[in-house]
Amino acid sequence: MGRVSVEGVAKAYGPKQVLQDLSLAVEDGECFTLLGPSGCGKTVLLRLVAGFETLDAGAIHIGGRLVSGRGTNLPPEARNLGVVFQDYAVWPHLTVRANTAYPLKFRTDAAPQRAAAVQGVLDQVGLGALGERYPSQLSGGQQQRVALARALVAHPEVLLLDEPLSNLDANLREEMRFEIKDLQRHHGATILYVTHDQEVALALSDRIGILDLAGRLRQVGTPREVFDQPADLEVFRFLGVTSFVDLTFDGEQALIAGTPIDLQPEGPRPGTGALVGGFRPMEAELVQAGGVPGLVKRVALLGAAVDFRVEVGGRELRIQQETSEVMAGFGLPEEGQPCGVRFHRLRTFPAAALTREA
Amino acid sequence: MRPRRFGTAELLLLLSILILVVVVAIPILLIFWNAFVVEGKPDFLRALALLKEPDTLEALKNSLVIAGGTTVLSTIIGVFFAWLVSRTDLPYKATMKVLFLVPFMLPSFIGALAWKILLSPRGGHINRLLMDLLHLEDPVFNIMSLGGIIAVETMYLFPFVFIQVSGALERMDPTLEEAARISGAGLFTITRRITLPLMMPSILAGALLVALYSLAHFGVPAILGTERNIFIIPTKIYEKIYASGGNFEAIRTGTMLSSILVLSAAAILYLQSLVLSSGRFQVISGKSMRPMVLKLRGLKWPLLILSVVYIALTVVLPTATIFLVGTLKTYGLAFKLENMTLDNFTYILFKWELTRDAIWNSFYLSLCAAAVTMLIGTLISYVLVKTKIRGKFLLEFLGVLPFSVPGTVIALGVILMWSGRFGVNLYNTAWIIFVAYIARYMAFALKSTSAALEQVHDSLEEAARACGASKWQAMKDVVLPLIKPGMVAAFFLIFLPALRELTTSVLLYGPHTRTIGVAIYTLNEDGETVYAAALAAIALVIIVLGQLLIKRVTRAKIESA
Repeated sequence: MGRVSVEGVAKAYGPKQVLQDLSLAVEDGECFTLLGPSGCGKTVLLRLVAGFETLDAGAIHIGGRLVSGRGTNLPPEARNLGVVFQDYAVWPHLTVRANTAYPLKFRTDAAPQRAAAVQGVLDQVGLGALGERYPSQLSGGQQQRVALARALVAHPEVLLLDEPLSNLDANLREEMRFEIKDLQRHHGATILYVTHDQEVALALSDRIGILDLAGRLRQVGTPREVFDQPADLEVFRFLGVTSFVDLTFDGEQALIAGTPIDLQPEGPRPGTGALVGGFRPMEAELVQAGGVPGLVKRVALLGAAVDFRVEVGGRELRIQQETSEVMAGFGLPEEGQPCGVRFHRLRTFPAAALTREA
Repeated sequence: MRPRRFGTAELLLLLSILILVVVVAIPILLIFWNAFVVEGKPDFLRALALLKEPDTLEALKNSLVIAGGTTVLSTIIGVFFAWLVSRTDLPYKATMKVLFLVPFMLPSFIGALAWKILLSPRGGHINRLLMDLLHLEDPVFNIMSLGGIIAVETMYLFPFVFIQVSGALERMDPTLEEAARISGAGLFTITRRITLPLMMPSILAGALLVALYSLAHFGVPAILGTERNIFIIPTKIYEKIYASGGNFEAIRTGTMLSSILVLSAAAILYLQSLVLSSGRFQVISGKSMRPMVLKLRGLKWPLLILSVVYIALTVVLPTATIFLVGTLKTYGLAFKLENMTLDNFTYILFKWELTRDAIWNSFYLSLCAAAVTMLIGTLISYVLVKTKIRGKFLLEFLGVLPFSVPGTVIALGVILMWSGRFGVNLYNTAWIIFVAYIARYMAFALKSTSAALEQVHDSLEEAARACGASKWQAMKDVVLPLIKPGMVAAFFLIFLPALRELTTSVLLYGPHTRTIGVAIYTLNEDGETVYAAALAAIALVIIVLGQLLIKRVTRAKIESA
């Protein structure tokens, strides 16, 4: 009933085409995250779904009902949504309780039921005792909870969240991440969540859609799928820190900088064009003997992990290892010292894609 | 793309444009039309010939001298006192800072009246006192001269420079000066090479405001100059219109002079926008810092005494004079208790129809003009700040107009527009003053309400829409409550100046539509100095009470928020 489907949507601001022929579907009760760099048009899509903007082409359905496109453009108030904004948008002239109760003003519930619903949702977000406070008397995290409570109180079919955590500090962000997840389980609303923060997206979502700067949808899948089996180099690069080495093949044998490696890189291997192998910092390690020869450029002890920058075949790689493992092995290497690198996992991409990105 | 249909936003835009066109644009156009178009054909030569008349030429010259002199003098005094209260260890700095702003709220024409009583060449009290004491044949001072007008204008206009410069001095990054000091520069060098150049945009911005106001002011030169045949552009326009009795040439001269006023005001505002947008403001940040403070040492107390004497001379002395003269049984009697009476005040307040009407007129005209202008201003600001529609640039252009139209010009414009030429004759009614006030104070309303609207982030309104509120409901529940302080501020920003208005209403008043300002002015003209002073004293009390009320209202706002 809360399914959101976006079909062939286009939107331009003046000469700038932000979205073009974009289609995606958020299933009922699903938490779907739209992940992309700032300026990719993800907020525009959310505003189109909310009805704050009119689309140039395509159609949007919410719960099977046409809300935008084909001559229809329902105003936001007729779409049965909850929206949480990046800047909270909590009304400073109203108390927490009045803020939260506002959506019920447009429902037909009786007053006592309303009061109970408001108190209930305030309790859920942990603000049960702060109902009479004004937003200026609350911390950023508490204001964000008010915004959440307000969005949830009327049990909307669909909850739209626009970077709701980006103004919070790291600890609070982590805490709120779990809370949103819990609240969604409790309320069963469909969530469309827009963010550029891959950690939040991976932790929170049932599925993730990754948008590139041109507003194209690169890949849609579960967090595991997009993280583990990225559709292309852009998706891979966007999720976490990545490094690349030049890969050559001698038959089935993969070589890096002329050195054969004892690993089969995953991914396509087209006959033409140079290839690179991509990996994340934990997917390689420094070894004392063997491996691909490299040069330690920089060593940073981060606490539980050690961060290395190693030059291999003219490219700088980032490798992270657990500190205890490094200490138990050969100890911290000196900067400028030669070393070997062993790869645990490599994904192949066309090298052309890498230069295009950079 | 589909063409957008005609919706509420478009309707509001049209309405806003229509209001500004009728209230501001057409009157200004009529002025230019009358000045430069003769019998349906543009005729600049004839227009220029009018300017070459000796009396208009003289008025232009005087305007330049007075505006120039006032600007220079106000800048020197404003910068000096601003520096004194923000960059030295002057005792009672905070109090002095507030005191330097007091002249701002006093109407300058009341000041002029006081100075005329004190320093007119023959009858001035101080002149007479000095002549008696020193056995002089001739008066020492003559306030009724170009120099006198400049001096009195400066007393009331220097706060423009003072506010700009003291604000900038306080926000200036002190490390810029400290860096120079570490490099070995002396204080004099730092002031000359670092501080002054950094302050230049603020100084210029303040100076240009002074220039703008001193060009457009009617009251001071009218009270101190007209009797002595010293005219500047606004008083010349007044004389032309009143002497004309509908004479076409005189009205054309008036519109010519008005055109010059509008163009100079536009030029000044353009210069100001250039100054303010020059990137040099960057080094002055928004946050408050602890600036380097100069130790005055031995000069500490002398400079404090200088400041106090300045305030006493420019604020206390004229105010006291107005109150004292207002109590005299007859003008010319000595200030002794047996010559004083409070009957003047009761007579003015309750018995004399002329003054009673004037107080009532000023009161309801200001109230209505403030309310209506504030509401129109809110509407226009809303369209300007919150909507995204084509054709908005037209409104943006029209919205700048009210800022550049001096009061005299507005008065002449509404006379041209509302004297029956277009089928509506409001001349000699209160309506014509009301319409003129809307045009005159639109700029204040636009400034205050658009600032308030810019503070209300779009997402606050959108959040209400997402909660199920319609456009109007969101407006009523969220936007209006949040901009209410800005609207209240706009109301008072219009109400208080309108209450003491003279420049515009003096050209528009009829037998029964005198305002307080007009009544004081005409009483003074008729030689009723005592009643003029008594009415001025009542006006001062009303103004001070109004200011206190604003303080209370705005403070209550802050506390409740």
